[in-house]
Parts: sequence; structure tokens; C-alpha cells
Amino acid sequence: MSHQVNVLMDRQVLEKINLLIHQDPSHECGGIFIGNISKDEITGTYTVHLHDLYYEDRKGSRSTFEFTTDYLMNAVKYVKKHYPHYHIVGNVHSHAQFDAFWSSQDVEMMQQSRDNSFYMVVSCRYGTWNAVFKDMDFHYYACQVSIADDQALDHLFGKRIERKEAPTKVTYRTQRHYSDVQKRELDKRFLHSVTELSDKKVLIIGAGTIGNLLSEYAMQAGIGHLCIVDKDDYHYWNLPRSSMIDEHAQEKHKALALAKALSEKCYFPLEVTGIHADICALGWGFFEDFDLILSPVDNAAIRQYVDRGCKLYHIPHITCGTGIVDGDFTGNILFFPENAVVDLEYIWGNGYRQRLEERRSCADIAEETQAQVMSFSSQIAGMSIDLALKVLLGQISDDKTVYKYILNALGHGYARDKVALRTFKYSQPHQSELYEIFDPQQPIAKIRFDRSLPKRYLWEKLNILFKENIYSYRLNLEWSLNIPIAYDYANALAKIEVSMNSGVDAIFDRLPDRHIYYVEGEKGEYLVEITFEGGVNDETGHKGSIKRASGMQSMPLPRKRRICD
Amino acid sequence: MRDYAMDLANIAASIVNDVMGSNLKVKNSYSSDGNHIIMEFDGYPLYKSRRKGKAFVQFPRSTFYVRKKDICFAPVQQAQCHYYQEQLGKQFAHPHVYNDGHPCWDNSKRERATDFIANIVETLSLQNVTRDSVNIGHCASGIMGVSTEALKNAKTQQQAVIKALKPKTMISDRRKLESYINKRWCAKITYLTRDM
Repeated sequence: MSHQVNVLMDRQVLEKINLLIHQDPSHECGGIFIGNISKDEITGTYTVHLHDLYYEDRKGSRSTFEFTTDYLMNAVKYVKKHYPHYHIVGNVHSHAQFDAFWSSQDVEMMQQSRDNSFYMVVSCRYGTWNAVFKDMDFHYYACQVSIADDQALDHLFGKRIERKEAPTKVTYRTQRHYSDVQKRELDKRFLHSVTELSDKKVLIIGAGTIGNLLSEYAMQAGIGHLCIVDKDDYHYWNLPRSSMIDEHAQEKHKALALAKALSEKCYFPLEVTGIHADICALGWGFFEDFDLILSPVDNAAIRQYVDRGCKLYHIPHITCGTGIVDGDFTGNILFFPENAVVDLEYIWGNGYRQRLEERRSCADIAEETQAQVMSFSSQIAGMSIDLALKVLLGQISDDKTVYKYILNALGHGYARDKVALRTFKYSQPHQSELYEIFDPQQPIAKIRFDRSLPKRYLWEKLNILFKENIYSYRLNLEWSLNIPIAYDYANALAKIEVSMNSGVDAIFDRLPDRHIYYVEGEKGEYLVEITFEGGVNDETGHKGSIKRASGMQSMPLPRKRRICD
Repeated sequence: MRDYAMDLANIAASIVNDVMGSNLKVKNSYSSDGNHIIMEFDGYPLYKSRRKGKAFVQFPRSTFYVRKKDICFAPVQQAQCHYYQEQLGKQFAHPHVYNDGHPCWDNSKRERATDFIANIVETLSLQNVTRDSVNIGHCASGIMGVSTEALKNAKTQQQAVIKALKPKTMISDRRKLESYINKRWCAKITYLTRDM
């Protein structure tokens, strides 16, 4: 076989193949390719364009799948109705038990029609695929298959189709060089030196309207390390309210698309990481590496979750958001320095918690999502980044006092406009659920534990730490509000028992790699940071692991500038 | 070092046994991951069968615990509790138990340990299947049919349970049942706390 066939597969075909083969991986199934085949008469090269895949909810046995006549007829009708300019150009089928190879039945099937056809076999068990092109003279050719948007095909089969649930991570490192003269000129135009923020690490949680603006401002201020975390994708309705991304980001993961946009647009050296994940799945331990955390999230429960993690690790935190009151915009910015005397729960109360825990993202409730907010959000983002730069530059000496800013839309006349910005100051310590157990002066105990070991070894470590000598300690999962296991409705667990005689617990695989747990004993309650190691299988992809978030597909790098590493 | 969670579960199980009759043999154990307690009742008359078999109630181990020498009870959410029969994972035959074994709670209280134990008694004896519960609350599963059919089949199974186990007559009166369980629970945990 020689390489004379180029196959160009549209992304939707790939997505449909993934959907098809993973709907029941234990049985074989098949779909029919719709597209065009052309031949360059001079070079003899064939080009196959696969535009769509027709498939029905039909399953074969564990070892066979038959393309029946009525299946093919339905496909013909579908093509006639939807794609008058395309044809049926071949088929794909899956192997449930075996690797992707051409069996004798497959070869027999290929020999039944005398036309140019493209065939594909995919094994979701082994994550492999094979493709072949057959011309009218029954010559078989190997194929060069590529995806319309350049992503490497090898990565795409064998992963779970529910890509929204699979955290992915990408890091772009962009280098920008300025001459000494240029640097001096730039320095003149900044209140701080352009290199002063190059070693600062900022985490931005949420890549919505304000997330776009904050990341843009942070990047242009010269912050050297940015990390964006978001669990949603960009849709067409996000485009007019997201300043950094363009139409190519549509239907792509927000965090990854925004990270790419930042790396392409930055004017200073920048390392930007995008993580497509639920922030709660990463655990509080993830926060510790950052100098500042910004959480422009639409979800109050997540804002509180992030705030609690920041308090535990003494990380400055700015959270902001917008809303609508009486038909006009309102917004808030809350600034918590590293040793804040109160937390978000004290300022807001927790009455909203139960209702808002169910609402994880505004993408789930499109009808409640606010209308165009760019102009108002830019004010919120501008004020937030002002505060952020002051924090990063060490210009805020009071590391205890918390500030809340409420900003209302202008345009109501003098009296109301005068109080459009209101400031609230919290300088006295107050109790809340967090501070009932957390003493900021006391370091939090740390434990490392291998997930694959029996729980009794963790019990031993807890017993050495707390010396209660009791039969079982309990890890309270509800204390941290949102860690993923609390949402497992089918087998809900509010607490995990760590007892002296227990074996391996698979639930640990679903907990974040590094997180602070509220541990209940018989005499008291404690906070302990548990770092889970081992026992993680990225292919199966358990929930809530930063390890899974870090071991993922590589993304194409932007080509505009020289990218290191 | 005492395993109070198991001690308390044993007390709860013994009260259920006391009410349901001594023909039911009860044994408590932990689930393999240690996060749940499994209350195993042997000798339970199986639905649509002449055989007797096992019924299981699985609930979080942290349902009963001791904190600062006080005995505590954490109310159980319905998704945290499972009723099985014959083997773990097989749904208990009851109109208000879902296919995966978790119950659809009725209007009864759940705040106290007494309520939890009374609910187990009522579920095992199907006393909580009423005309209102199958009509207004509908049925969580169709294992006994739906609506009047479920009520009819539940009554048949109820009679089978009564005939086989000879439970105390108070099971049909929730108020009396709670009162009895409460007295027994308080007496037994008082005895337990003396050793703390």
C-alpha cells in the first residue's frame, strides 16, 4: 500500500464516531460516512472529505456488526434530505473485544461494492483505529487521516466521550523580547517596572465576561504566570461578551481557548495555563502555589468555596460578579487580604448555599443569564485588577481588613449616582463556620497517603496526629461544600470513615489530589491536609483529580511568536 | 477502644428484631469499604416466593456515633440508605424502594434515632404502604405494581410478613411504635454510656 489517499475528517464526524463507539463499548456498532471523494488525475492522489456520519442506535453482537439493507437505505434517505451535494463514501465500525484490525468479514464486506470507499475500524477498548481506502479496481490504500482543525488524531480515540467531565490542561509559554531602549520606554508608561510582576502567579477562576477582562488586564500589566480554570465551553452567545476570544473559540473549552488567546496576544513574557475542570475537583491544595486568586464566577457557592480555600492557605483573594436589580446592573467586588479577619460566609451568610449549590454554572440556566454586560463588567474588572495589582506590588500594608465594594449602574441623576459606589470595611474578627474550627495562627497538619493502600494506614497516620486512639475517624465532605463526591446522588456520602480495620476504598480515587479535610474524632474536630498519591488511572479518568488534569492531551501551540518548551 | 458505631448499630438492630419477632435473625457488618453498616435480617419471607431469605438495610457508618461522650445520630438522606433482599444490590420488594435500593421516604419523621429505627420496622413490615402513599406519593418502583395493584400486593406481602415473623401488634400504630422504640433505645444507650 502506498500513501496516495488523504482523508480530511470534519470535527463533527470525529465527535460522532466517539459518541457512537462509546454508547455501548461492549457491543460492536457502525456508522456510515457522508462526504466526497475526488482524484487528482495527474498525481493519482485521492482526497476523501468526510463531512458527516450517519448512525442509528443499533447494536451488533460482541464480535459482529452488520450494515443491513434498511440501515443503508435510511442513510441514503438522510443524505438526500440533508446533503444533496454529498454522498455515502464508506463506513466505520467498532470492535468491542479486539484491537482495530481488518477481519475476514470486514474484507468480505469491502469486496461487496465496486466503488471508491473509505473504511474505518475503531476499538474503544484498546483506543486504536485503522483506516483503508478501496478504489474501484479493488486496490487498497493506506490513508493519511487528518482532522479539520489540525488536532492529532491519535489522541482522540479511546478517551471518554463526555469530554466536558474530563478535565484537560494546556500550558503556553510565550517569550517576548524588548531592547533596552524599548524597556525604558515601556517602564516610563507603567507605574511599576515592567518586570516587577513577571514572577507573580495569579489564578483566575472563571473565563466568562469578567474573566476575559481580568485575564486581559493581568496579561497586559506584565503578570508573568496566569492560570485560568473553567468548566464550561464557549458558545455563540458568549462571543459578544468575551473580549479576548474570537469565533474560533466557539464550542471549545473556555479555559483552554482563553489561555491560547492570551498567549497569542501578550506583550510580555507569559506562561499561561488553561485547565478545563470544575475548580472544586482540583481541591484546595491547588491554590497554594498562587500569589493571588481572582474568582469572577457567577456562582456564589463556588465563590465561597474558593474563599474558604484561600483563608486556609493565607492567599489574598478577590471575588467579583455582576447582577441585575430593578432592571439595572449592580456588581460587587470583595477583597480579602491574606490574613483576612472575616470570610465570605460572614459577609453574605449561608442561606443561599443550598439553592446555589445546585447551580454550578450559568451555562446550565441560559434563560437566567444576564444580557449584554460588557460595559458594566469592564468597570468591575477594572476596579478588581486595580486592587489585584496593589496586592501583587505589596502596596496594601493592612493584611487583615476586608473590603466590599458595591457598584451600581450610573445614569439615575445626581442623588443616586453619588452613591453608585459604596465601600464596606470589615476590620473586626467575627465567627463563622470556618473560624469555629480554623485558627489562622496554627499550622494545618499535613498527611501524604497512597490511595491504593488500605484505609487503616490512613487511620494510623490520623491516630498518630490526633492521638484519640479511637476506632474510626471521619472525613467530613460537606464541610468544604462542593467537592465532587458530595454530588454523587446515587451513592451519596457525606462522610468517609477511616477506621482501623478497613481496606482499600475506591472513593479516594474520586477525591482531589490535595485538599484540606475536616476530620471528626470523638473528642474533637481537626483540619488536616491530605495529599493523595498513586492509584490513579488517567485512562479511566476518575473525578476530581488534579493528576488527571495534568496528564492530558497536548494542544497546538500558537504560531505567532517563538514559544519555549 | 470501643467501636461505638457498631455497638449502636447493634442496639438499633436488636430493637428492630425485638419488634419484628425472634424468627428474624439479625447480624450487623461493615461494607467492604468500611463506609457503611449493613444490617442483615435472615429469615425474611421473600415476596412472591415461599422461601425465606435475607433482607439488608445499608446506611452510613456515621449514622450513629459518639462525640465528646454524647451519643449522636445523623439523620440519613434517602440516597445514603439502601434496602436490599437476597443479596446486596438487589432491590428490596417494596413499592417505595427504588430499583437501586434506596427508599423514597414517606412523610414520617427522620430527625431521631427512634424515627430511623421505626422506619426500618415499617419498611420491612410494609406498614408504610397506604392508599395515600401509593396514590399521592406514587410508587418509587413498579416491583409490586402501581397504585391499587401495589397496595393490594403490599397487603399480601404484609400478611406474609406477619404470618412468618409474628411481629408485635404495635407496628400498625406509628405512635405506639415510636414510643416503644424510644424507651428501648434510651434504656440501652444509657447502659452503654455508663461504660464510657
